[in-house]
Amino acid sequence: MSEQIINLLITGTLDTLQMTIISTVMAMLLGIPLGVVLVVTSKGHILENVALNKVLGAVVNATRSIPFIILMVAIIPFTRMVAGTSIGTTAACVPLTIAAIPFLARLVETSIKDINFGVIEAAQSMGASPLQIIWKVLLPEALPTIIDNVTVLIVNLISYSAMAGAIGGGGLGDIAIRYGYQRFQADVMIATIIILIILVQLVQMIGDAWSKAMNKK
Amino acid sequence: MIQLQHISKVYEGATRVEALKDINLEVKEGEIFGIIGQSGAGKSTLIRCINMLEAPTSGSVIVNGTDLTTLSKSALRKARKDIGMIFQHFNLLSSRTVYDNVAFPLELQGLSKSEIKERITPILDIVGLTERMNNYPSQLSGGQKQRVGIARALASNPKVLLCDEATSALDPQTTESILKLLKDINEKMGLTIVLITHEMHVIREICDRVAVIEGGIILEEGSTVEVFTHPRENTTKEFISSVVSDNLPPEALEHLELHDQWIAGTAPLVRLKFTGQSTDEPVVAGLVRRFNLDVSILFGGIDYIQNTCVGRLIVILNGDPENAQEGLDYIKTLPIESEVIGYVRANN
Repeated sequence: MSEQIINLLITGTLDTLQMTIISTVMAMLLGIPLGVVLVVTSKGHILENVALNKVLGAVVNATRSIPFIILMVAIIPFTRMVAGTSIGTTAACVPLTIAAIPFLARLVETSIKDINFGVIEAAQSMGASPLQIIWKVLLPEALPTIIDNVTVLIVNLISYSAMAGAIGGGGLGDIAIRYGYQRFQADVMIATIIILIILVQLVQMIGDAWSKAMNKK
Repeated sequence: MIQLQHISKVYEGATRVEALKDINLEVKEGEIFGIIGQSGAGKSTLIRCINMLEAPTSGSVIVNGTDLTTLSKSALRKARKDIGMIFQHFNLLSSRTVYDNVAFPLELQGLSKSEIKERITPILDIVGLTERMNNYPSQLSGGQKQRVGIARALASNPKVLLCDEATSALDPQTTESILKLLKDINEKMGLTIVLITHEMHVIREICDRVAVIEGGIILEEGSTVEVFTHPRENTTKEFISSVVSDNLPPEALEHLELHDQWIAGTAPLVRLKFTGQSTDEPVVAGLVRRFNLDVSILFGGIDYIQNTCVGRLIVILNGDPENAQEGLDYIKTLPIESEVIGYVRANN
């Protein structure tokens, strides 16, 4: 492999990492609170608000039902508004984040719903406010599974970010398509696949170890 | 301390369920009050009404002079700090150590780390968990988990402790030790305890007074000794028979050839009940000596309920029928209860 190709692969890897990290952070900032809201506003929960819950649930479902490659194209005007451009890694972060938020929110919702309601009742019997219950009961009790959720999300975002390459998003996916597929450079194709496998393995290993360390059950 | 007035709870839905129907109860300061009922009787709903985890559909819940049903959400949260609660499945936070679980209610109140430590150290000692304070709940046995639950409930110095089937998930020995701990706390700290259970032995062990609930209604209520010795309702009798048996097994009755009438060759079969002081009366000796009767004892037992002795005997008064009749009359003059079950083949 030429030095040029190696440099290309390094840049591509960094681009992929950049897209994944930015959209993961954004998705955590918005998706985890959304997941919490989906739980606490559900019927019989600490901040029951069935109307809000139904609306949010519908929005989440709608976003999740659009295949990522279509979502990416469909929201180009919005992407241009937010990122100033619709091409490149920064621009790719917009659809990635938008796809990631409802994905993570649903996972977090399930994790928090798994907490035995008795624990919440116990906190209520001690005079805990809804906000205290969220911060001191729901999030700490669900933390190990939320770490698992984020791990799943990162692995998904690595693969989605490769798709972003198809519309000029940059990163490893872009390289694999342009060099590996369109120019028949099998070595580049194999190299990108190996890098992707290593990335995913690393993320999964770190995520599993961290979740295990946090799990006191 | 606690007054429940005309409490009813209705769950609206596909099928309307009336869980509680016009319940009136009063729990006095410093007593251990037991509520016993089968599952589905409404006892769980009832105890949850006391700290408003379930808001009653109508009626008032007065704890320590305040009607909780009239309070705002934040005032209610404040009032709940005076009402501790422990649960059947402990409901501890799995992500916190024993110490941090006990510290939890104090953290909610915004106490400083040093204040929390000062408050918790003696409580961990009372429940005997000082050595396990850095363990996580998953590393503890059921009994230890319930001790953490008790310590957590005590941390905010409550005036009332609610126990929701607190021993139902524990083995008999552990149940014993938890009940002893609750009794200790009640005596030493003057804490009022309300407990619900489906196990009569829990009531017998520690409750001063008891209410029997069925179908959302309080069937009967009274001091534990009174209810144990003079149950009025069948449900109560069933509960009592689970811990105190005073019936002969059916096989034994068959063998005895029980008659309704005192015919020739039979002798009266008598059930005697003693409560408290009357257990000291030498009844059997009196029957033997004064009336020359051969008293055969078929069944007997003595229980201690709240330090009161409760004894039961089933005897046959063998001997001359006239003497037996005099013996029966004599028994009636004594401060004990008696009942002629029937007449069985005499032994002489």
